[in-house]
Amino acid sequence: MRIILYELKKIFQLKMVCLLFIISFIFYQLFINFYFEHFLNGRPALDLYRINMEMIEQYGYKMNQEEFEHFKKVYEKEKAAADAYLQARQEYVEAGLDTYEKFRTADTEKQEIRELVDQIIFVDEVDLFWELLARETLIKYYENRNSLFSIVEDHPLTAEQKERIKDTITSGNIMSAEAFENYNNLIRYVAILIVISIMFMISPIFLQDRRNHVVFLQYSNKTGRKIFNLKLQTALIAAGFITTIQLGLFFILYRGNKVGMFLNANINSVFTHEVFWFELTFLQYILLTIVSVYLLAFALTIIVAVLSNRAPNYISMVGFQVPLAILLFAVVIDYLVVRITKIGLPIYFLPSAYVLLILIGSFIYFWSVKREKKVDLLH
Amino acid sequence: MLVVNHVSKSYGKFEALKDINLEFSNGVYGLLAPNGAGKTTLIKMLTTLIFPSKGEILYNGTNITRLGEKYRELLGYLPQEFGYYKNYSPKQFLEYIGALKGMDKKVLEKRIDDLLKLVALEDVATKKMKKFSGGMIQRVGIAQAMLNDPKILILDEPTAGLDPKERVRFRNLLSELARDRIVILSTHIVSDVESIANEIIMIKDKQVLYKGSIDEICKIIAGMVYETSIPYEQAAMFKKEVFSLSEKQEDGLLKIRFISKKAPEPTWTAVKPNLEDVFLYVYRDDIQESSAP
Repeated sequence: MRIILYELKKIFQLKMVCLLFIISFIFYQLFINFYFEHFLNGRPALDLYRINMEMIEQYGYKMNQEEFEHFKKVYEKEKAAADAYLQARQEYVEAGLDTYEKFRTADTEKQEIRELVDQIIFVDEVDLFWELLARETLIKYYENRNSLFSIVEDHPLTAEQKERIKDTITSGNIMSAEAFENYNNLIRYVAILIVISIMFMISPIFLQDRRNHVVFLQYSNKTGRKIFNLKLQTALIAAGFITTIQLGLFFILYRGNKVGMFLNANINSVFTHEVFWFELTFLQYILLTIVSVYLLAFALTIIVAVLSNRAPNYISMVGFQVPLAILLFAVVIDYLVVRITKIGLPIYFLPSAYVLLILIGSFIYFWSVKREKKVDLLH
Repeated sequence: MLVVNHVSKSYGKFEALKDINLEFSNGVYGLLAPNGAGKTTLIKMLTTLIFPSKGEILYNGTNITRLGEKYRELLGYLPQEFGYYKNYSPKQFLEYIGALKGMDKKVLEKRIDDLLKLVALEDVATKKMKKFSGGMIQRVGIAQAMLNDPKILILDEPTAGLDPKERVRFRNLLSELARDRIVILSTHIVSDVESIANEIIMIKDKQVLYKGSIDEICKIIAGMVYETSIPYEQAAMFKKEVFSLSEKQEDGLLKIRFISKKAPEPTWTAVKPNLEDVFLYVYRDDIQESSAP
């Protein structure tokens, strides 16, 4: 434990921590902050989100046919209010836009008409009209819920996929697509930031000692080649710590997005237009992504640490890691964090992928420890 | 006792050391050979950094690889390229090495203070090493090697970077230490071992060429070393006939120390050979090769 503490101190040198802080700050400014500052990003996203919340308040996390009819009645009522709003304005009556229906189907190619429509929608931003647009979208989603059968585009649906879609269609689950998409965007970038952080912090773990020739002293002392294993363990502890801090900071900020009401909502919903293999609530989904990020972080740490032991210098280390980073950013994070358990992927994809990842990580770990016991230390 | 038993080391087809047999008991052993002769390879095998391709190294009858940490905890090692962390102070660095040596914290603290005094670094004990001179760094290296009061102290080119005063201090320190331990000193600087080594090991052509006391080693060229003074104009011709060991100007003539197997001439004075004479003679091919343009 004493050696692990010394090694942790070497990883978390003040200079490195400060640099990591700067990298994280810049990354947040460039990629993550947008999803906090602009959640919800304009209208009707804001209205869709509000109405989803209202639906949960009124109907609970599921909506049956009767409740849907009620939802439509509210829509009709608001439509009547919109009619009244328009009829109370002379210019709209004169332009023939005296009902909401006419307002919706107005020919906006005409300059005068467009100005009138824009006045309500974009200049005055009348909530009623935005809400009506949102309600229409949600009604359309519900009524066209069979379109979920086309969410898997690249191959015909299997019987199991059809079953899952059918379950989702009939479930009546209410979930906000905005909240779900926002979280997915955020966790994707947070996972990328964690990958960058681990690569940055763990890369010097062996390379630094070899470059400084300290490894001759380490291996010829009582601890001997056990230091390699201890350093790998240190790397895993450090990666766990980095991942926890990054996720912790992220979730502190994420609290500001106020999605609490959706945490117990099922993510398989006609409103999110998403179907997953498992009946997961939003909170369970979040927890699953957290577990995925940790597993990915640990597997990556082992790879980076072993590369650090083999790379002749920092340039090569960067060279080895660039393709690894591209692979992670472009494919792995997408499949193993963001799209987890989606029915577009086989049901056993996620467990198989993670079992494989753990096996590869463990194999590299034990193989490199075993190799290090016998290797001649020449340089 | 440390025994090197028929040890060879190869890297693929390249043979770095061939059938080495040595025995070490308490005392100072000078491992003397030019650079690249295989000293470091032998030392790395003694410190378990590399493993013999053939043969075995035994400590008190047990293979050092099998002894593992029991062997390494008896070991103090100063590598040729002594590694350290620039941003550490000597104290921090020695604490880290102490942890690697599995030393008790309290014992370690006391030992660090004593050693830093011994190597005259107590005033800079908490200063970062990045501003240290080569000599100061080497002294930190010596301190870390002695941290665990090792039974086997292996020093690879330990005097590199030390000034003459530090060298003398270091030699005295080694003489003192060698009373109850094995000290193996690898060097190509003859004067480092001449005054303190009980035995000299000379390696040539991947094998141990000689092993013995300085007197025994010097006998190799006994009766062949002379000194004479000659005019400068005769120097070139003269040096073709003898092997020149050293030359200096004296009273307008060239005073030359040399080895000759011929019958001595009246102007030649026979002198007692020293270790440096043997070194120059034994490694004349290597030295000529390395000094060739």
